[in-house]
Amino acid sequence: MPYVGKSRPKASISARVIKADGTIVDLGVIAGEGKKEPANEEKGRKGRELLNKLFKKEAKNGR
Amino acid sequence: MAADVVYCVDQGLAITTDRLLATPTVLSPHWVHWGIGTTPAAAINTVLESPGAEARTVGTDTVETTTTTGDTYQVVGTITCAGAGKAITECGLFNHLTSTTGYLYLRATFDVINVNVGDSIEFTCKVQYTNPA
Repeated sequence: MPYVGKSRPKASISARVIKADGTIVDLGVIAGEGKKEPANEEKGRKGRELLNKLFKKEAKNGR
Repeated sequence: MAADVVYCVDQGLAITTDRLLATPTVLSPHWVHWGIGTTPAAAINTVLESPGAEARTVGTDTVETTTTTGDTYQVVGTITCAGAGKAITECGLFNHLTSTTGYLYLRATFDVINVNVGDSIEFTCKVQYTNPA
């Protein structure tokens, strides 16, 4: 969803997760301007897939 | 699934105008925080819905160019998960380290990002000042 309210500044939030072991997962724009762009959606999808995979692996290892 | 919404909130507009004064009375909004609240961001927000126990962290603020020269205020800040794992769904920019002093400038809500202790999220927050369409 783009920013709401035309008189307000446009905003966006991007995120990169840095795992404790140093692995970096780029999620791209997670809210605001640019989130719905196809390239960003693809980056976000791949990033979340990797993140969930790492998270499940950690849960399995009791972390 | 949290709604992906980001707002420069009402207090944020007030921070902006104050910072235009020859002698601003408030600090720049470059403290980053996160939380687990899922109620979509709204203009009237003054705090995060459910902030994490971690302290706000100082971000690096710069002026960037998105469309016209110098139209974008950017803060890059990193928070590290402590205590217990969390499902992060919101973040915000504040103009002070502590919750009892200072104001919310921006709040965003988004899909869950799971973090374990020791994991960090680097947030890049961009606010572009532009003429209404």
